[in-house]
Amino acid sequence: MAEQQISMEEFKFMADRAGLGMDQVELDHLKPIYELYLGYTAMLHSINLGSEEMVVEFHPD
Amino acid sequence: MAQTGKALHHLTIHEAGKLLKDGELSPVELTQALFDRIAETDDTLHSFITLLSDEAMGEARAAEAEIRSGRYKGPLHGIPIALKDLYDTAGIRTTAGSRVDFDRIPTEDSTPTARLKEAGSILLGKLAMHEFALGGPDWTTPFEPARNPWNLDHITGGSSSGSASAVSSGQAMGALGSCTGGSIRGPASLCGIVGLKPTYGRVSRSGVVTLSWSQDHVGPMTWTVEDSAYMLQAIAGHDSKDATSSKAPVPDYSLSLREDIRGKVIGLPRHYFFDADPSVNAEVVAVVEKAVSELESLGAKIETVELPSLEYVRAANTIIMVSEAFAFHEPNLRTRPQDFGEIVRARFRIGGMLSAGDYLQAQRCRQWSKREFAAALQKVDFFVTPTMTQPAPAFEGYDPNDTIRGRSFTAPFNVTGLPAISVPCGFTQAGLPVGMQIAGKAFDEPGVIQAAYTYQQHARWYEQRPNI
Repeated sequence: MAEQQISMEEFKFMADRAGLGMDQVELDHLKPIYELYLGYTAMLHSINLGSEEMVVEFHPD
Repeated sequence: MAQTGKALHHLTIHEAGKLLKDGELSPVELTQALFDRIAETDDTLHSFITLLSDEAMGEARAAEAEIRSGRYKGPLHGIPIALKDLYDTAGIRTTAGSRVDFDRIPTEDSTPTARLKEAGSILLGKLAMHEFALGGPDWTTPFEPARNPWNLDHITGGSSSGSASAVSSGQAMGALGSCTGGSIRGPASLCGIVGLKPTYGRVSRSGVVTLSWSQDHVGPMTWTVEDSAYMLQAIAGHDSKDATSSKAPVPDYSLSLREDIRGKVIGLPRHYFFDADPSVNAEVVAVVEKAVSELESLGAKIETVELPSLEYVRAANTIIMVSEAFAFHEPNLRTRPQDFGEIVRARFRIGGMLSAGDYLQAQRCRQWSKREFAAALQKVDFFVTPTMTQPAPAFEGYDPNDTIRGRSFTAPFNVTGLPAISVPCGFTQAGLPVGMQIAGKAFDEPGVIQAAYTYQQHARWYEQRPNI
């Protein structure tokens, strides 16, 4: 999994958008962990899944 | 007093069940022996969050009366078991290992709890776990982490940490774990016991605290394969209270307790599970390679299989898990974040920062993987792999974020929902247990159980107990 990094400004914007209400100490703690997860999202978006649909089904009954 | 030749707390469910059925052992005597064992060891192991001594002894007396009067219910009747502390138990605190639920007392039993009661088992107590079935061990949560009975300086793995330490040390004859990325098979492997994650939908999740709706599984953790079969029998089957519960008929799993793997084809996805990788311990792989060759000597055929989606499945499992967890825990994360431990609070918050596109891409990857695994299972009967990438790490220096990095050998079968079992297959030179994972077709728990049982009876690792 390739390491991914974002700026603190961008990270703070995303945290605020999610409404998580974190202070700077919490942001500093969370950012490197978030960057680990960014590696996963980058990996998933690198796949060409063609016409593959999502697996979750909805049954109206 | 029963004449068993070994301590009562080291009997298997199968052994104790026979004695109970024949009236040679009393459920009261057996349950007291387990509480004595807990008193002797739990100051060290920290397997239990809640002990139910009075309730359990009452249940034991009732079971004794039922068996004496000819109303024997089956292999779990009078058997002392314990539950990971995320199974709702009516009138009994259910914490999910968190300060958030520290005082939560459910009014109803979870479906698996109720079914184990109906089968006549005796509930000793509620077991330690990683907070909300995710990260740990976390010293910022209110409960002491469970310790590995094979080496107290080492972790049990998680999240079903107390389930593994309790069964491994003889504090409980069986336990339920829960599994979203490997939380049954992982600690089972690291603590030298059997852990069975059934097919998604095989066992109801109703009344089991959610981590990830679409990936949570319920399953048994026991000393032997046959004991897991007995527990699965009691909890499997459709439940209208769980929308994802399967209506597929439940077979008689005891019929799978036969030693025969001749002609079965075992697929080895070598490129992911066996080939060298910085995140994989070579000694663990070597132990499992030896076990695979023993399966071959018993008549199985070995084939290498390619599953390209494996490289992405860990990512899908993780992104789906934290996204769904955030959705479930969002109200508490916003109003009382300080009540979560550091590890879980961080991971759940990340779930709220992912996009819908991230989640959907993970679900599409999941569908790809499901089709790919199903196609491979048209050509082979099982996949066999190491259960874990490493033996149990030491507490000292352990970084829970290491579980985010590197490969996961268990997550592929949560993403695909396929049944998978971990069975002990040896030890490292340092004396830490190693588990072998056997996974099969959807709802082929009978095949998986039979393969694991065949290996178990040949290798007989169950004869070795931790020295605690």
